[in-house]
Amino acid sequence: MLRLPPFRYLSPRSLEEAVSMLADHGPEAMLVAGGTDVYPKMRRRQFEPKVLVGLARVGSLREVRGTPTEGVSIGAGVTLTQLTRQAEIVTGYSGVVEGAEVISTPQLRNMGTIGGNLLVDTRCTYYDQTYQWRKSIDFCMKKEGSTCWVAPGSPRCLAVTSTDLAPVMMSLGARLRFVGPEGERVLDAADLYREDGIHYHTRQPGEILAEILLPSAEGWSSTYRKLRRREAFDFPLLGVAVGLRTGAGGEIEDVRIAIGGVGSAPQLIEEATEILCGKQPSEELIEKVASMAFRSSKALDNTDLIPIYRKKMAPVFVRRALRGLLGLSP
Amino acid sequence: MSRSSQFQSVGRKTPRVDAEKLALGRGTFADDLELPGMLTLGVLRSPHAHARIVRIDTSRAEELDGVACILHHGTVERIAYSSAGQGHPEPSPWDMFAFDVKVRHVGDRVAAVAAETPEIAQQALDLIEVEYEVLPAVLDPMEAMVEGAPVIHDEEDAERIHDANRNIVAHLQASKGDVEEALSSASRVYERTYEMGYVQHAAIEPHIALAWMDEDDRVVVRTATQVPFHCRRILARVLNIPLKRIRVLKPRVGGGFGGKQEILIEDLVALVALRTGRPVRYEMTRAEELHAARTRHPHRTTLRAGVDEDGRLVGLSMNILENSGAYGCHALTVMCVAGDKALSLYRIPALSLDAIAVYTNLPVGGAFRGYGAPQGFFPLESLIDEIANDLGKDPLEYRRDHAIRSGDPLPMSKALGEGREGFEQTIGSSGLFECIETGGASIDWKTKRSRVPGKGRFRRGVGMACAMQGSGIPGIDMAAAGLKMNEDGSFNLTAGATDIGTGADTMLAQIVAEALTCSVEDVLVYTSDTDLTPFDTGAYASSTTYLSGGAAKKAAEDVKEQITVRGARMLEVGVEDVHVEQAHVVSTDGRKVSFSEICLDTLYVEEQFQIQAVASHMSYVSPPPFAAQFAEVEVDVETGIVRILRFVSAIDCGVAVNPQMAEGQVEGAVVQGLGYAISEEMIFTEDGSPVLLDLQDYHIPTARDLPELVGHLVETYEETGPFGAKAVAEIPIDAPAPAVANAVFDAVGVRIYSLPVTPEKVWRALQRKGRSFSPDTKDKNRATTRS
Repeated sequence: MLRLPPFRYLSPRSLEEAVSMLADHGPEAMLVAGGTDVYPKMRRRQFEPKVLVGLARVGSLREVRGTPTEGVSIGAGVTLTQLTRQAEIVTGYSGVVEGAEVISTPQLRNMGTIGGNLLVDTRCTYYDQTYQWRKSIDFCMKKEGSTCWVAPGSPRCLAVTSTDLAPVMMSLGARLRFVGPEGERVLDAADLYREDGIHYHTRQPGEILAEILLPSAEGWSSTYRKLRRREAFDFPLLGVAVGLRTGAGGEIEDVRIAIGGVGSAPQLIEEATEILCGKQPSEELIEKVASMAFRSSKALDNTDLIPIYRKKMAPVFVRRALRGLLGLSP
Repeated sequence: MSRSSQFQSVGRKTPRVDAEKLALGRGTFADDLELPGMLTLGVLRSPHAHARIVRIDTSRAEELDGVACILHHGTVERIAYSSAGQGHPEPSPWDMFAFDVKVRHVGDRVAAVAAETPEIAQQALDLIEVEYEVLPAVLDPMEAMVEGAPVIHDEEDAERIHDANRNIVAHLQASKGDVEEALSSASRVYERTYEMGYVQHAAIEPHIALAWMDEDDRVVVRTATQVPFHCRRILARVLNIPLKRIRVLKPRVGGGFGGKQEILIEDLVALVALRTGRPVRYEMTRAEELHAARTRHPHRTTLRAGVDEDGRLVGLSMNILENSGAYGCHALTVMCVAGDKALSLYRIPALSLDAIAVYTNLPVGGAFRGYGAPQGFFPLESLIDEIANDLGKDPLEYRRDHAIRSGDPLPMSKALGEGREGFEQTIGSSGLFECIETGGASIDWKTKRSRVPGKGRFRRGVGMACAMQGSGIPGIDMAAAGLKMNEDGSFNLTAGATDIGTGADTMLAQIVAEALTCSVEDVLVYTSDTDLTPFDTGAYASSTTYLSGGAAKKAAEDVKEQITVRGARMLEVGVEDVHVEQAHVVSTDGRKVSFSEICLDTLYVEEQFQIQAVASHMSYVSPPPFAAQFAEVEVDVETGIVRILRFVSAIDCGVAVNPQMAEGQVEGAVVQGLGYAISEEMIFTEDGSPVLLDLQDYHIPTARDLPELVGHLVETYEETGPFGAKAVAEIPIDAPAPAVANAVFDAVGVRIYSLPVTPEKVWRALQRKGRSFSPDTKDKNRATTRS
């Protein structure tokens, strides 16, 4: 692999300063928080920023405020390790903890941030090769080229969403606060993602993800299940997150099921919410939702393990996640 | 009481002699040397699986400031050779050239640039214009042999290819008795085909070499190699310079596993040093390691086994189709080992081997820990397990009933030598039965095998497999060692032996200390320098403890004799009236003289001479170490995910010279073997391009994936080995894969016939089992046995 190319590193002390630095340098600039995705990709020449705006010294990005009862806001710069230890999160949002603790390795979790994971680049067996390898064949549409070499003829990039925390945030109904030159914008986690390997998110070029706003955890439970070949290091080949609120009589008051790691964007299985809400949980209902997960998992053939297997695992994981939260035998 | 307990230094957990410098990072690895003005080398590699280089234009690269040297087929002499790094005469074909007009796999060499910085080297590589005529590629070994398939080695000047027009590197046949007769009279015959894919060594230190010209205009190569002497000999050939102009140094090495037996990069740095007169460094990237270095040879192996009415094995035939990739490195000899080891483990009257290695346009096979034995034992031990289960017998007892014993002849040892005829051998020491007993007790075999299969999602099972290896290549490998005494009673040991992280230097010091009764600290070990140390074939074939240790022991015994003579003279008694004890010569009346006093006397006082000796050691036997390995797994029946809960290895390596290091070898080999079993595989596109080019995606096991690893060293005493020792480095990698596959069968009743045992394969097999009445014509292994 090549060494890092030369670049300028800017170190703003506030979000406002970071926003203006980003604006000053336009397309030449990129944001970096933990750097666990950015730096390796710079070495492979997948990212070629001339300027990096480092968020490490923006103190407000590392704050966690609120309580599980009233809702918690998490600064985008909070590390993945901290997420797994922060009392407010551990007590109210076990899906976040389960999602964060299965990301990569302890070393990378010490550096990587929640914001970085939510916006982590999509992965592709072609695009993720070394510079020299890609150059010797041809660059692909995600970087410099015009063809998708995973599926030549594909009109769009087929890189796969690889964030573990996105489905978790979608299952919790989290909202994301962005700060940009035009001011603030808050959107549902689900609205951040797009089914396109290149333009996989809707963040505007000048915007910075400032906070993740978790709604009240009152009555909610949540979980995350991840498929991968090894028990560490690996990106998700399938990730299933479920947030569930049950009433006093055991009926399901609200539920959200989100799936990651199969297509270019994480997705909510909206019909599942319709089917389950207001009902007493039953074997039949769970099976119905599970088979829905199978149908809606359009697994791309662009990661480890074959697509049909990953698609077949979606209902298994959804079933297990639901049963786990409902306290049923696995 | 074990025989090793009488020893002072052997059998002890002595700290490694290189521990301190390794721990403190004191300039020990190849890369720790920074030479003034050192150039960096980079290699341009083929993007095509098979192509002819029509035109190569380096003019723009040459104009770049900071470019010192460009190598390609137009500027480097064309000499056929093999990079396999074997002894003379080499059993692998000479089918490669430093640079060729053809490229035969993605990652094959096209050109190399040496420049002032890595960035300039990369820029220059980008500026080299290459026009390829892309040729049809062949990736499947079966298709490669078909009439009309693209001929991968159509060059006229390759040597010793078995049948280049049919892409056959080597063909090997051997037999004992009449297998066809045995199978036709058998009461049952089992036929199964097994597939073992591509895996890579993934040593943490990549291939790295430095070269520079010394003050006598000789080229010095400092390289992470397993074979410094073969490296020197092969470099002399490929560079076409006298051998005496080359010096090869092997510093500390960060893992070899066979991958560094290959003379993979040394010719490049040597060429640049010779041409520019400047020091140069080349370190392969992880991506290069994962497609342009060497791999374990993929095998497709069909076994046919017959049993008589009592269930005893009466005949076994083995057909191997080996994929050698683009070049024939180790193609023949890996098949020899696969056949020799797997066919010898059980007492079977009739045996046969038919093995073909073919070229394909994929990465090149090479030496890899186990060297064919893992590819032999996955089929064998899967089949033995299946037969035992089918006959309603306990697989442990079935193995024990058939296992080879001390005093048995090794049935294939004469037919299957190192690519030529070998030598008749008989098993000396064998701890196989004790290994089976000890390991079985350790995993609680009886209780766990009789466990009623659960109905839940997670099912547990236990499986086992046995294996044998060798200790060096009989009649071929040779090791030499020199020992010189100093005034303080210390000794300089110089040996060609090659410590690649294995602890060989420590083992040698322990053997010398044992023979001389001195402390391990008084043996100063210097190894692997082709100018200063005696010859040694190198670190491969599990040879170092047995052969290099044997040479060191002989040299030490010679020195001890000289010490005794002088000591007796100083004590004014006959040699029969003294003995050596704790670094002193002691007379029967209790007077003594120290080693230091003896050395001072020989160097300065009278009839002066240097107490020293050089000894060589070789052997016509290669005593097998044995293993019985056991896995307990938990299979998730809904996902096919296999978790290994516990892994037990019982290993007979004779006397373990250093039990701690031997345990380390066992653990390391098991981890590598478990990767082969469940997670590691190199994957290629339809064009033959590698897909997994870093350790994020190439799945060696992580700490989280590993079970509790239990190791038992079952001590035997090998009379032909130094202080009873046999080999330990390879044997523990041979059986993890079949042990795991057999445990999966015990847990959920499905057999996986190909490696690795991935979740999707297990899941598919479970799906099939669930609807067992549906026809499945694709899978021949579903065919029922002929009775």
